[in-house]
Amino acid sequence: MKLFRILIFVFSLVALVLVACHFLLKPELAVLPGTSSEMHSANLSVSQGNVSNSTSTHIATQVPNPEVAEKLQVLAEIFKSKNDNDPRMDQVLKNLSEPVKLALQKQYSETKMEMRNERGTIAFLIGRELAEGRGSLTDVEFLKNILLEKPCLSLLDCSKASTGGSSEEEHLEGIHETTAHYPQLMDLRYLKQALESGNLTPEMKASIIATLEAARHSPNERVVQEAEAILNSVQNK
Amino acid sequence: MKRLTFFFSVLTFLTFSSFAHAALQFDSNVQPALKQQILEDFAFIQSIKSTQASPMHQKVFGTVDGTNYFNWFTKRVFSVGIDDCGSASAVACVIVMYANKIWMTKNYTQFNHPQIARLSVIYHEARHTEAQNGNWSHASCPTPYRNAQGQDMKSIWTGALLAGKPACDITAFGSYGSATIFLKNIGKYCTTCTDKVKADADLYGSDQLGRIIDPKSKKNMIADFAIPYKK
Ligand SMILES: [Zn+2]
Repeated sequence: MKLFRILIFVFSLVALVLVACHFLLKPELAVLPGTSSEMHSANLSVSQGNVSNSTSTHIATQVPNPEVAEKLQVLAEIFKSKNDNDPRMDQVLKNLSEPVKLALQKQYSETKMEMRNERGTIAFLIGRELAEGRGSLTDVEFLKNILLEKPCLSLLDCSKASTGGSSEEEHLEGIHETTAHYPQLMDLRYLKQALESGNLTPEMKASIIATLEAARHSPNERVVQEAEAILNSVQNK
Repeated sequence: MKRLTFFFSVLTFLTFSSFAHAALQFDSNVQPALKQQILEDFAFIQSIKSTQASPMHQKVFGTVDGTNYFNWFTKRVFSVGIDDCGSASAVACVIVMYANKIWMTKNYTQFNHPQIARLSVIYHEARHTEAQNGNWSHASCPTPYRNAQGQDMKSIWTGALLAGKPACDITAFGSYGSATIFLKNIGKYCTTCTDKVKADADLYGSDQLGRIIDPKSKKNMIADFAIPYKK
């Protein structure tokens, strides 16, 4: 009987070790989206002390840059609060380093299409950097890809067109439509401001113009119209 | 006496801390999450400050100021109820037979609108509670009704043309106009707003401005937003 109890104890211990190993080798289960080992290689640096206890003994090269983790954490808190007027939006999420911008771009791609405010906020953060002279060609490429996305057809499910057609829908649907195109409209707003700022290098300016030219062929009709309008206003100046 | 002073101090604290809550009565079937979001959105609106406003804003709301916005709203809306507002995509509505009441749908929290866009919907609806002004009923959109690029204005949800539908205004002071004035002034003059809130206010203000179909009213509004009134 005593031997049987010892065997049960040893078996439990082995099982416990196996479970612990399983979680230690899968750190993405324990950390925030965008701070996992899947993150873009440019975001990563060898650093300790920025992950939860369950992963702190994990391979050092997979630990995110603390600056990246801090900014993503702040953004996650703002999104959770649904408070667009959180002052950290201007204090912490401004003057972004390249690794932070790349992490935001990755987060954008991992955010559901229906999260229009979240996706638009990331477009806003990258766009503001560009308009204030802190943009890069990678940022412009990111903004171009947003403009080439398929349009969001309804706010609860972007892939399905809404049915109905009551007068109530027409009454305030302009607001819904603006939200449906929100990431694209934020994007275009800051591309325009960047062009108007006059502080772009010739290479950056050419890249933005090329992005707007590409947006003329977007599957999103609203993007096509807005891009045309910006190009016309730039050419007329 | 000490006990009495303590009692009144507690009472005073409770009265002021629940000011927003007390000023708006919520029906018992308003879901806690929806009620909380509305109260949080009003806490934001009450925090707005500025030293400037356009003349039209001065006329409708006074200066760009959170207290003005909150008082303006609670003079018109006393209670909040739940309804589907006759559409799967409605966010809020006013039912004329229920005075001083705004009806909200679950879309207020389900749709992922920016905060100032959510608020603009309920400020638009609050204007519709003014029975003395015929509830600022909307005008029919013109036929044809086209945007600045010359394309037909149509529903992205159904593809239906907006031409002939009661989804426009002639006056600058109806629901579309007052919401535009509200948004454009916050976008331009709010000193306590983040860059995002100001950009959002400007963006959604342009949408509401698009529903003003009288060229003179629209021209006056655009000119108005360029003339700041200084406190
Ligand atoms: Zn209305």
